Amino acid sequence: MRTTINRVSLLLLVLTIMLTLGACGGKTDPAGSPAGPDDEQKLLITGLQDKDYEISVGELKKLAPVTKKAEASRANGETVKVKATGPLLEDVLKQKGKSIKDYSTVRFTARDGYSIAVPPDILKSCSIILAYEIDGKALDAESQPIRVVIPGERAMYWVRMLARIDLETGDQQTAINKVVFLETAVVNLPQEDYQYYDSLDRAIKTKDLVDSYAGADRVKKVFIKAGDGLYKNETQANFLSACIKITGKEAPKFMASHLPQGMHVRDVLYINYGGTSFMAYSQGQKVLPRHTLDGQSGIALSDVVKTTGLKRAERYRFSGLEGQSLELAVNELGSGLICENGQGVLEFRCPGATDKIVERLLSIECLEQ
Amino acid sequence: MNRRNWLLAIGLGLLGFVIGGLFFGIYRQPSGYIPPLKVVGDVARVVKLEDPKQMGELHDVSYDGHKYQAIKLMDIIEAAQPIASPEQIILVGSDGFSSAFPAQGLDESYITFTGKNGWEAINLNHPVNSNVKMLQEIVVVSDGSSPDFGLTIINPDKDLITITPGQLHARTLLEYPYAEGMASVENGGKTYTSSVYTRRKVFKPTDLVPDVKGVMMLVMGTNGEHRFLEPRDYLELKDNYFSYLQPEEHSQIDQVKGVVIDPPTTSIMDACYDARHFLENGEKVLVVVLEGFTYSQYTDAIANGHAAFLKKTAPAVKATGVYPLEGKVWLAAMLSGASPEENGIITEKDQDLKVPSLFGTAAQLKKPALFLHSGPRMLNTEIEPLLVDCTNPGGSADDYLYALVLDELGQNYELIVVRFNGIAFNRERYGDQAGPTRAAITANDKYLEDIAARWPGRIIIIGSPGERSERKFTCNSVFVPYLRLK
Repeated sequence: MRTTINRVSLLLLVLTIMLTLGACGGKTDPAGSPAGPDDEQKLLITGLQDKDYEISVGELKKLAPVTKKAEASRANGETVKVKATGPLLEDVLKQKGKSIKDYSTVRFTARDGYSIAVPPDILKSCSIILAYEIDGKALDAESQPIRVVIPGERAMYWVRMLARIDLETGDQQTAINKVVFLETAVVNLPQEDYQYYDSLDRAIKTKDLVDSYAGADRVKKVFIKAGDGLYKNETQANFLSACIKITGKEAPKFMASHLPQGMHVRDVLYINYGGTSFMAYSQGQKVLPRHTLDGQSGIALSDVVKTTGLKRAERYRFSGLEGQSLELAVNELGSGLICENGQGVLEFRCPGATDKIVERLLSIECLEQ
Repeated sequence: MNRRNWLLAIGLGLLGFVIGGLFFGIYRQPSGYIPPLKVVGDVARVVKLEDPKQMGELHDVSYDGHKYQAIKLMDIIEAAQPIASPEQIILVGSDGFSSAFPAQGLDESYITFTGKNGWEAINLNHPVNSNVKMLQEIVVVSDGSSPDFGLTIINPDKDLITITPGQLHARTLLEYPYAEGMASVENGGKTYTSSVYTRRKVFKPTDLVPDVKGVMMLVMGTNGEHRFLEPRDYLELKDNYFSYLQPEEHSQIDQVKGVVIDPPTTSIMDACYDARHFLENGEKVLVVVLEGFTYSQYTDAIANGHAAFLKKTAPAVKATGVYPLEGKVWLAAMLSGASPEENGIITEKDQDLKVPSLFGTAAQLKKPALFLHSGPRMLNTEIEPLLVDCTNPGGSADDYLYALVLDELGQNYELIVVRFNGIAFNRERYGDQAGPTRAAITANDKYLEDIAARWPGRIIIIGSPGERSERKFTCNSVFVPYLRLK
């Protein structure tokens, strides 16, 4: 009897082993071995404030986390599915009074040097999770301390081992090396009548302005700032198809009969077109502080430089409409003033020197060394 | 244990190994990578097959001397919820080889997955060339009868084309290498970079209407986007919708509903800027919104003598509206001067404007303002609206509104916005050309005449698509009359 039991037991044992072996032919994923959270590790964030900003993983964990199921496509079309837990990048930025909408690009850099920039279309439409847990478990060694998860976006943006976030505003436009004053510039340009409601005003074509003073370079966007603080980026094609109304109400006004009124900009303060800034003195004197020099009231050269973003140079050239010019070193500028004389003509004045006046001021240019 | 028993044990063990292998060979997941097979085109839901058993039951199919376990093609298509009636099915292989056949008679059509050919079509009743191997996509092409699916291109005069994603899959498309981004990594002091591109199926709106030469193109998206297309921009065919792609700026509209080629220069959003201009000029402004009054109804009413007052005034200009085609969405765009995407009113449920409205401008200028309409509160603006909830048995409260406006004209208001909805109500109940609709137009025309005779300021009159009007993006729903009266 015992022999029979032994025999049956042995057979069952062998059968079990064989069935198990036969069944184990397929691949199994190795079990993840979640590493413990390293709350002391820090992420470096640039572009958020004047100085670089560091935030630790521990601090990130104190923010309200979201848990989202996320999918991403790999290069081969395969779908990656995870459940990510962590704070939203938006919430991190909010702590400093910023929003992801303030930036055009966000670059993530990993500890191993891998980096990728997330473009604006993704920033605008997706939530970015700084995940410290994936599928309910702490990150593995290959992802610690943080893994970026952007639901619905390609896996190449899901940066593991996140070490640094660079926030870029896209405002890094071409440096401004010339300021042209609109009031003087329009004198020599063709002007045409513009029926504006009940008023017949005068306008110039933006193309004429650009051709005469800014050159034919292709620019990505044209930045227009109004005196009331409104600003917009206009495409080059739209900008060049429009005009600037230079007289009457709301002048200078960027407008075009074929563009909806929502695209018009009234009370233009300045227009940055490539390296040239067209500034309206008339608006400048309304919104910038008034200064007085030798009995003349106007706007400070330093405010013009600051407002338009004119780049720093060792020397500057001040040119008048008739071709006269004055070159000054940066230390000679002092508290230079741009003002209107008794005839309503723009001029540049430097303190204490009567010979340092440029009448019918057209432009200020940075001079290369 | 004797030798005989050992042999028996080994024999049984081997048998167990074979049975175990067979069992798990049949029921375990296919090992290795399975490329996804997508069902796209005119479907409500894009189905992505990554597992042969994803659809449930497999059918045994014999073909060309081989046995397969396969999914019924109709089951896959039904899971994707076709829009309207499927007319054609296109099977697309990874090498671009495609086979198209009618969507009827698919009883003996199957899809299987094999290690050798990947996803593979087995059409027992169709010609052999329909059995596409290495299948990547199944495109469902509808008969186009769904009224609100696809992309419509119009110009100010007519509807040019409506095309569905499925229909476009069968046409010529450009493959554009869209730069997704550049990744870099530092190794041994050197930086190695890799630029990533995705190949996008793109086209220009004018590719679909080659006879039309457009200078400006206005693109409207389902989330209230309102953008002018740049010459270098494209529309992109996605799985079951269209998007707008601006390659240089990396901006896009995810779901494009329509394109207006050479749109009129006037927009309904101009109402805000015009009114602001008049207010700043010290003039009083009355804005009258006529719900349900489209440009074609305006011309019809003028031609057939249903709007004697409007006929006497300066002709209306054609103004472009916004998308979605909802009365409240349009009203918000008129009052804010901003597109739905910018002002935050995209659906009938939205109430809070994200940008200042005309009433905010009036408040800034210290001009008393009044906002009058019937029914429940539509928008939260800088002022409390005066609501008229007394409706006639007929459904419209226009006569009450009219009486109220006449009363208020004598007050000290410098800005009044009033919205009449009688035309929309009758149009939706009886139709565009029905007697009650025309009568409502005539009644509104008379109201306007009486109001204009007593109002000592400017009047802006604008049409709007109505609250429950058809949502189809057409010439008739997108353009409305716009009048500025002194």
